[in-house]
Amino acid sequence: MAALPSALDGDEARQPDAEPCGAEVLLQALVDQGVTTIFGLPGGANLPIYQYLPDFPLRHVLVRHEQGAAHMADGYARASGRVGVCLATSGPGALNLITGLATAHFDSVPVVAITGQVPTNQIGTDAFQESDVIGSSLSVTKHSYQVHDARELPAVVAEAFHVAVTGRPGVVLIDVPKDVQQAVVANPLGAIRRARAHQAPPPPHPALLDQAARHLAASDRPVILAGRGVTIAGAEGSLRQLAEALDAPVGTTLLGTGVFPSSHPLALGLVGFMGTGACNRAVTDCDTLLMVGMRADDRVTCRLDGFAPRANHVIHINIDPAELGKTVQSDCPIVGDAGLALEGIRARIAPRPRAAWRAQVQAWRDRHPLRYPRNGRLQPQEVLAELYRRRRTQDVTVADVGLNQMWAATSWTGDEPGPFLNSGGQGTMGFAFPAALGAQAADRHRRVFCVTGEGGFVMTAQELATAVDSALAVKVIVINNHSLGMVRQFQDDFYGGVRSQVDLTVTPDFTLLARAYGCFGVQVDSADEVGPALDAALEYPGPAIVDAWVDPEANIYPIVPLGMALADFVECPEAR
Amino acid sequence: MSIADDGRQSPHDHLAPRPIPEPTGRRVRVVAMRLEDRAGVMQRVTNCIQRRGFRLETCAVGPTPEPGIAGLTLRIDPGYQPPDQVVKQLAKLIDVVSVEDITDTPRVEWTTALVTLERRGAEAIVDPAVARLEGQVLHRDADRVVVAVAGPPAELATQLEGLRSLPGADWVCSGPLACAPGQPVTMASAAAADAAPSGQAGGQ
Repeated sequence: MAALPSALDGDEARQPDAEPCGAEVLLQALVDQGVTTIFGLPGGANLPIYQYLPDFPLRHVLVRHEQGAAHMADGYARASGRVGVCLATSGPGALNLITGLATAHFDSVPVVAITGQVPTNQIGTDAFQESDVIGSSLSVTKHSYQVHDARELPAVVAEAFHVAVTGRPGVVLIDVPKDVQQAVVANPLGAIRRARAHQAPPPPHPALLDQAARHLAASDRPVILAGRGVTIAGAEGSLRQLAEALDAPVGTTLLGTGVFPSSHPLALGLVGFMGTGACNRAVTDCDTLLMVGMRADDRVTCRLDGFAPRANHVIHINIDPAELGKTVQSDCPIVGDAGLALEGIRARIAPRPRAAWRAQVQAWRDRHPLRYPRNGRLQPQEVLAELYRRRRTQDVTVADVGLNQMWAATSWTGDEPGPFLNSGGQGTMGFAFPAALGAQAADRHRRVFCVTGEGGFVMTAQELATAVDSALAVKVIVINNHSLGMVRQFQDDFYGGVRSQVDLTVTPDFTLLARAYGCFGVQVDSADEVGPALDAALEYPGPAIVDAWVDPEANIYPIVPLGMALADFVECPEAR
Repeated sequence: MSIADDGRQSPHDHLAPRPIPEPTGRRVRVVAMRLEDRAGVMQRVTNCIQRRGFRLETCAVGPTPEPGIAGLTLRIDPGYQPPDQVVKQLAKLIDVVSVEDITDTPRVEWTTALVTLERRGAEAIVDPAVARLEGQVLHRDADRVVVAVAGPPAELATQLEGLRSLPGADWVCSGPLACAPGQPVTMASAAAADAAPSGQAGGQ
């Protein structure tokens, strides 16, 4: 069909050598930043960008809902270390991004979101598909821009990418009114002038590294806790070297899962609310605690006065000064890059074995192993064991939120650090599948596993179409307990045993859903079926779903009862 | 079902209502900021205050000698958060040039009020009261008088309370402006605070 004449959009007659418009300048600015992949959905207010998108070397992954675009950009960034980019139109398109942006921002993931906006002269008039995305996203972005002059676009994009990755990474949003996208740009403006440039903090202060080294050298019972900041800094090796020099056991936060080899003799596993018995006991009894690249939120500390109560010294390393002293008080707070800090401390200490402390930690491991019932029904840990048996070091595992997430984290095994992605801060159900698609888009040659529950999966399952459309061969393992399992466990344990609105018996047949979208799907409900099903999914060249019907009464243990301290964890009663 | 069958305290005990702890006293912080004067910057500042659970008591903002840089004085109650979180969180805003907590620093503060009083039939009371204010009369007619009064916030508040019984007494106040003469605000101060050991004392 021939293009209809349009007063606003009619530049079809533009000469090839004419000055570029804002949309072209924007797209070129993204290319200049090294962007190769964009996750997005077109709509009325970003049509000029889509008009010129085919002219640029950018791969566009067409999502089926903007929330998926934000999660995909997030997963892309977490898996690759590069900035993830998502693109939405104004109004509902922009607002649909918000949950995904919050998820990324809470977990310090560099994402740049670009939103179309109604034309500048219509802003504030409640125009069709107008939304105040700047106001709506203030709490979930590191910074944002509404561009009123197309000449500013290159400088805005450059600064946005700089802000997203510098210091503590985060989300930056660029809102571009439609007339700015269409404006002719003759002379782009130079870089944004700042009275205070946004920059990473300088290297950790030597005096504080000296102090930390002194505390650790004098310690008889040191413990290290590591979070995602170690991954961001690429400091997994430095962490291991320091732990081995100190002979200090290492626990990880949920976001830190995978930063330390689970098979290492110093590995403690997960800390916190659903952490391992050995880790929570070690943190409770340590005399010196080193926290690196983590925030110490309530899911880590549980009752604050029961967190490391015997520690004479708490050393806390974070690149964001605001995280130091926010919850846990530290007598040695160190601002800076996790890798530089760990290496600085390592250079200041002499290796020292701590046999008695290691023996104690081992005794806790022996006394508090991860246990689950053997009642003849398929247990989630059995599914995950089969999955992890097939996992290679660089395969990406993405977990959703809820019981599946905790089972996946506590069961995680690896002889080397490896990527384990999940929504730690926001706990966004529906995150895993689109994030896994983003991780797959970052590298088609890596295998990407999405571990999810049936509750979270259906929240973003429409992206199965994206998976097929964009040939993103993610393998989805649905840990299907036919309920909102973690909520059900909380109701059982903490809310009077009243099971209220947690039954998900009515859930799609995922094998049929897979077929409906053109994927492979298989359902299993016994342990001996899991391995062959996973192998079949892995052999299938496209996206695949393994729907594992697990024991609907399976819970997560250990667990620290609400309001109690780490040492008060409760273990699986049925497995004793 | 109870998961505490090993003699530990039952998790259900935690269903009992527990008192919500009170914020630890009145710890209002006086904060002096310099901002890049860009569209929406005040929205970012006030959003940060709300987002972090602080409470904004007063706010005064206006230009500085440096083009494009606005000066801002805030009084902020940190609520449940450690007091140093106020500066640490505000310093993270990209448009913030500097932010200083001058609560515990020798400082000067100044507030301005515009007071309106009804004169008609009460001149004998109102006019001497206006004279005692030692302010600047900005408007006077047969019906009412408007006078500008200024001073340190506490003194001005006392002065204004003394006017409450006068006919038609009404006033509006600016938020206090403050500066610490012994600690001049520098453009790089927030960045420096990010890195220096003294700036790392996270609520110590």
